[in-house]
Amino acid sequence: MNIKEYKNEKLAESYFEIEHPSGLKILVLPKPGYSTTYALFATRYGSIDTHIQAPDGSYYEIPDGTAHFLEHKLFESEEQDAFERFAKTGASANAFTSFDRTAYLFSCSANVKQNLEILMDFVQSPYFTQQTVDKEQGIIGQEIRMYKDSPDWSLMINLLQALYSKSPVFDIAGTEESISKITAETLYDCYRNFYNLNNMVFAVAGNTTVEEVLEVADRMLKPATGKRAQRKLPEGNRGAVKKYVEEKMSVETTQFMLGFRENSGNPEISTLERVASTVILDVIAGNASLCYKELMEEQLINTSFSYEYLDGFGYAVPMFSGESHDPELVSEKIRNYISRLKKDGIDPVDFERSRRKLYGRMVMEYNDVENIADALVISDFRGEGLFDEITVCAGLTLEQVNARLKAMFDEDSYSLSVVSPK
Amino acid sequence: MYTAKCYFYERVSLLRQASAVYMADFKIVEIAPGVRIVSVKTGMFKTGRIIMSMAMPIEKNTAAQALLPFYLRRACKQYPDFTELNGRLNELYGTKLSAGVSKFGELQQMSINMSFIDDRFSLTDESISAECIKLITGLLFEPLTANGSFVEKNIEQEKRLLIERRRSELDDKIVYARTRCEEIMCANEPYGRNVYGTEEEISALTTDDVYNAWQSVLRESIIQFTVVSSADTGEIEAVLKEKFSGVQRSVIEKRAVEIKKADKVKYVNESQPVKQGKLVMGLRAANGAPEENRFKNLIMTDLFGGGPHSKLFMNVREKMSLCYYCRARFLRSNAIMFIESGIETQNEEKARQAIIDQLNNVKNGDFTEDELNASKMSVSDSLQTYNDTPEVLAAWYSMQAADEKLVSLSDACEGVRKVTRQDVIDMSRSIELDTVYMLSGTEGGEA
Repeated sequence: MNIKEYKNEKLAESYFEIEHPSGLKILVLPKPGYSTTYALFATRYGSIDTHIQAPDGSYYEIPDGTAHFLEHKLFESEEQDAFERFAKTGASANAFTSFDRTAYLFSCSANVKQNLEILMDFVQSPYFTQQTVDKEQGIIGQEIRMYKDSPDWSLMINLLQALYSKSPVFDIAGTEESISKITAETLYDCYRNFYNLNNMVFAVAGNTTVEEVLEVADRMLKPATGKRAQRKLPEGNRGAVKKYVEEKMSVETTQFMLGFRENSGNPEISTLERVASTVILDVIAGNASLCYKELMEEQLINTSFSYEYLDGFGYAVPMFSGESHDPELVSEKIRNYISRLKKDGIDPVDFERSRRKLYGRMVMEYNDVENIADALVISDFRGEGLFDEITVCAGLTLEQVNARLKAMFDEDSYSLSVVSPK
Repeated sequence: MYTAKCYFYERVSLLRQASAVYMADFKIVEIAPGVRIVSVKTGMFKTGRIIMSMAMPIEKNTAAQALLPFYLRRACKQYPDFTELNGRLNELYGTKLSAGVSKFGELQQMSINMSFIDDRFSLTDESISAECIKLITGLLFEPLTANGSFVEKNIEQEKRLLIERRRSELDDKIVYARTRCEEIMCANEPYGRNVYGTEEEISALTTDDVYNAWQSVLRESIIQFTVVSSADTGEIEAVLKEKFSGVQRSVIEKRAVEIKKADKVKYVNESQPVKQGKLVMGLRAANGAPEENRFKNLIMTDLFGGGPHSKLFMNVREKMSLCYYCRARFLRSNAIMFIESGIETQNEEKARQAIIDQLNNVKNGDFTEDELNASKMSVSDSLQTYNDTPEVLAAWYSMQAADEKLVSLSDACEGVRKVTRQDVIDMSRSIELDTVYMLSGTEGGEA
């Protein structure tokens, strides 16, 4: 078995990467002194994965929302469901589905081995029947409705759909119509394709050791039967974006989200590009920026104003969001500010402040075992190491950031999403 | 690794409360009457955390007290403009500085919170913690003033921001329904006050109102500095002793909260054009919530409506598919229980009945040894994990800021361990329904 250790002296952290003979990659970051153990069993399978590759290389479609549906059903078994098993150990168990991954997890401060065993076991033991699939549509229908009442969620999904049209699919739970097409057979198909161990990662952080994790893994993991699932690239010929979308909801405050679709040739952006992008967003719209000051003094935004860089397989979107009585004016001012900045370049003092801020925030993330385990998974799915981002940030230069700024914003590919009172 | 937000659907939507307990030692230093430092020294974390909290009665000056921490966080004598202050925080490696206000029983607690990276991780020689201590104490003692009051332009901006924050929070229907139930149930009690006051009260505030609130807070509030850090607290002690030596302190008297008995059940139903209805039920514990029942109530509430092993989750959600979330929480300060759920509007009757049935099951002792153990294990497991996050650890202490005696994690775990089946039954039997609030969705059904 191949075990590699990765160290970061400055951070005083190190983690281990194990290529397990079963095909599963296992990542372990022990945190001495911590009482919590946090473990994630994750697969490269999220809402954007709407196709399965057949043996002949062609792709066939699966209903939107299947990844999330499968996540719900995996907790069940012929005997006891996974929640009942965790209830006996005291662990808190959960699971989530995002755009590009599904993860099952627990957090505990005792019975670590037993919990690792339950997690590995239930994720490897699918049990779907038509009867339980039919019943689940009720609960998921409730969940879909709950999210439809959430202005934050609608704002975001509407923006991404305006930028990317139908593909990739961001609406994680699908619709009541799409999930009605899911059968037990669909779930088994998806399980076979996406839940084979070559397509998955197991990450543990906190109060644990490599020996402890491997002892359980050796007993519990069955050799992988499939290969890494090949993701289907979103439609190549992207049309123009929808510049403005608005939804009326039962709210008192108007919210907006302004996003730019990046048109780079690669399906995924690099570590340097991602880190530089975050620094740039802080220079433009952080709470120490002139743009923020101006918008605040003109009473166009409030403290809910924030920025974010969202990227994954086939999408990359720098975005700005907040509350405003005049979202179009905010959008115009931010876009003008970006054009000026592209012409003038970034001020060295602003750059250094934002770089330091990002560096400090990255250091802070290492307090939390939940963040660490999640970052182990995300960085591995991206083909990066855990410490790559902080290393890049510590060495980031003004030239790199200015170069990135030129490529980052396509002034024609922006969209403004608004949620306003009914 | 740096991801500002995550977008996902979670399997279990639980109410995440910052309730935590701590096992290791803490130190208390009295600075002045009603002013103390509570500190935990640990080298386990990458960051230091300071919470400066000030508690005052909630019924008077609610809006002025709510606005104060935000005015103080905005600027100070040394950094008179928020852009300068925020720029300085960025130089200090993205030090996080935030203001907040919350309520405990009949008290309104204002706070200013700070998180900063430990000196070990600085890329330069500057001591980040020393700078941060100077900064946060400066915010409280040297606010921006003009002509013997606060600065009008800033007060006006903060009034706008507070009103917008208040509105925005109420746009979340879960928060809205919870707030309405509190208002209706506690209409004649201080706890029924909105934590920010009303919009009218905020609009009417003058610079003098907030300035006077600041003066009162310095003289009369219960003040606690909660510090979790790798460094000794000598530095902050020295700064605070010097600052408070100039203040004539006359601390507010903390009254015992009056425990009301459940009366005739109040029922309010309101409609909004939303898809999912929200049902909030408010209950009162007739025997009050004396300190010795603290952990009994905690376990009773968890067994009834806590995590995935609870009565509400297993039955009302999983077996009956009546709601997406359904959970209970118990306010120790007022002996009140709230049960919150998201349901189809047309299922209101069914859901209410199912929830009450589950409560009756607990009252009748209709739960297994396994269910009791699951709750005890789950609660004590969580208590221990709280030890691992500086923010949660500090929050645990700052939430006890107005309590004379601090409770440690060993006490809490011990308390949980001792809870018996009969304790759970006894506690649940004193719980009576007081108020039902239903937010009906007029767009339910076909989503």
